[in-house]
Amino acid sequence: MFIKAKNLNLETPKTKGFWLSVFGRLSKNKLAMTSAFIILALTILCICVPIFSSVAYDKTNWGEIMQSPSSGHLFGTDSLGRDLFVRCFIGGRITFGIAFAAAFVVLLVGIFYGAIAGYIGGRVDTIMMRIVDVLYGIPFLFFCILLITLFGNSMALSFIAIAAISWLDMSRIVRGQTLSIKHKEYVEAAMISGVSNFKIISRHVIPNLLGVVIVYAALTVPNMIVLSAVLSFFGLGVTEPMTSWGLLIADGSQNMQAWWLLLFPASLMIITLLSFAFLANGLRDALDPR
Amino acid sequence: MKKILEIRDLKIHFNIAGGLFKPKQTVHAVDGINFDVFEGETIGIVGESGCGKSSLARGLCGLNKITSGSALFNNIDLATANSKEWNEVHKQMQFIFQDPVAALDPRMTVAEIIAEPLETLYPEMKKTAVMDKVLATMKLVGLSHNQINRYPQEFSGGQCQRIGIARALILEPKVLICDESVSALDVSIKAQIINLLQELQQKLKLTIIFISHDLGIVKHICNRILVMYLGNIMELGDKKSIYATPLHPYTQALLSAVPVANPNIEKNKQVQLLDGDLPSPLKPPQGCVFNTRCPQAIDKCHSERPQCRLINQHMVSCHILN
Repeated sequence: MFIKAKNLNLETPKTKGFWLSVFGRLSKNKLAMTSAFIILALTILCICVPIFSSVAYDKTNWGEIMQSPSSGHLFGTDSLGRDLFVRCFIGGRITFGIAFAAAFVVLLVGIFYGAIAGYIGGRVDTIMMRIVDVLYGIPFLFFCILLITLFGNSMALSFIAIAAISWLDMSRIVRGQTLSIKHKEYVEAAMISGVSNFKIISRHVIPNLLGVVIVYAALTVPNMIVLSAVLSFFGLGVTEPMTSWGLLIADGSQNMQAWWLLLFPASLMIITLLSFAFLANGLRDALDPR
Repeated sequence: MKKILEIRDLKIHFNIAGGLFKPKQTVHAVDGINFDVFEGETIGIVGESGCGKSSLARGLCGLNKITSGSALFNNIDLATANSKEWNEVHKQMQFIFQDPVAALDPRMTVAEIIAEPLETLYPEMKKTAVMDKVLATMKLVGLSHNQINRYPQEFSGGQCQRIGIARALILEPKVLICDESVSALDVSIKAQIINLLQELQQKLKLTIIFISHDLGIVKHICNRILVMYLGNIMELGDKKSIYATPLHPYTQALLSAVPVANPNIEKNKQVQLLDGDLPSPLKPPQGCVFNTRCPQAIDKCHSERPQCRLINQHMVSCHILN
C-alpha cells in the first residue's frame, strides 16, 4: 500500500481496507463465524486438554476397561482402560498438526511452483506441468507404503507423504489463476506504466490470486485430515500408544458394542470437516464482493 | 504540422508454436503499413474485427512486439527500443483500454491506481506532490476528490473509464491511444466520455489515436481516418473527403453499411454487401489482400500487392484507381 490519503486535510469518507472489508462481510455470515469459532475452540482444546488433564493419554487402568461415559470419564474408556476424552484430544493434536503443517507446505510449494510456471509460460510451463501430471499418476497409498518400506514407519513420514501428493492440486490452481491474471487489462496497464515484472507479480498478480488460494487452503485442511486418518486407519504413520482421529475411529469400528469408542472421535472429525467446509464457503463469498 | 509518430513498413507478426506434427504458423496481424501521425490531430483507425487495428495500437505502446519496420516517436524507434527508452515512451504515450472495469485492479483504491504510473516513472517525486497531482487529475476528468479511497467495483462503467483516463493523463502524455475505449459503454455515457476526450484534447493539446469500429463516433471525433483490412492500409485521408468520396472499394462498402438516422434516406439506401468473410491472417491472399471479396477485382489484383498511392489527396492502395 503505497499511497493513502489519510494524512491529507480532505473530507474523504473513510473506506475500509480490502481485508478489513472482507472480514466485515465474513463476520456477517453467522454459519462461517460459528465454524471459525468451533475450529478455534477445538484447536485450543487439543492443546490444553492433554496438558491439564489428571490422567495421561497412555495410562492403562485394568480396573476401568470399556466403561461407558460417566462423570469420571466424559467419553468413557477403551479396551485397555485408557480415558477416551484425553485420547480424543491428543489424537486431535496429531491430526490438526499434520493437517496444518501439510497445508502450509502445500500453500508454499504450490503457490511458488504454480506462479513460476504460469508467469514464465512457454516451454518452462510445459515441462513443469508435465512433471505434475506424472506425479498425479502415482497412487497415494502405494506411494505411502513404498515410503514406509523404504524408511520405516514414522509420523514425519506420513506428513511428508501427504504434503508430497497434495501440493499438485494447489500448483495447478495457482498456475491457472496466474495465467488468467497475466492477461488482464490492469496488468497490461501496469506494463504501460513501466512497472517492473517483479512489482507486477507482487502488486497485481499475488493479491488477486490470494482470494482463490485462501479458499482452496481452507478446503485443503479437511482433505489433509481425511488423508492422515486414512493412513492411520491402515496402520501407517501414527502408531500406538500415540493416536490420531483416524486410529481412534479404526479402533472404535472394531468395538461396535462400545458405541462411545466410535461416536466421539467420529463426531469430532465430522464437526471439524463441516466447519472447514462452511468456513471456506463463507470466505469465498466474502472475498468476492461482486 | 509537425510529425509526432512516423511509421514505416511496420509489421507485427505472431508465431503460433507448432506441435510435434504441426508446422509453425504465423499470424500476419499488421503486415507492412506506412503512415504518419501529426501533432494535435485525432486520427481514427477503422476496420472490421481482426483487421489488426488493436495489434497496431498495442504494438505502439509495447504490449505487442514489433516484428520489423520502424515506428519513430521522439527519435526513439519503438521497434528496437530498450527498457529505458520504453520508459520515456510510456511517459509521453499512454493507452486507454476497451473494458473500463477490467483495466482497474480490483484490489487497489482509486488513488493507488491513478498514482501508479507517476510513482513508477518518476520515483523521485514526493508523496504529497503525487497526491496533489492525483487530485488535480481527478478533477480534470470529472471525478470528485472524496472518491479517492474507493475501490473500482464501487463505480459505474463510465466512472471507471474516467479513472482509466486519469491514470493515462497523470503523466501529461502527448499521445493518447484509445483502443475501442468507448465501445463497452452505454450510449449516453459514451457521449460523455467522447466529449470529455475532446475537451481534454483541446486543453492539453493531445494527439489522439482513436481505434473504433463505430464509424459514427469516428466521424464525430477524428480529423483523419485510416481504413485497415487484414493488416494493411486500404485508404487514409481527411475525414470529410473519406466520408464524402470514398475511393477504395472496401471503404465504399464499409461506409455504405453505416445506418443513417433518417428513415427516408435509410429506406432507399443501397447497402453494398461484401461476399464471404475476412480471410485468415494466417494465410493472407496473394496480391491485394482484399481481392477475395472485392467486387471490382481485376487480374492484377490477384498477382501483385498494390502500393499506397496518392489519389485525390487520399492515400489509397488499389490497382483499379487512376
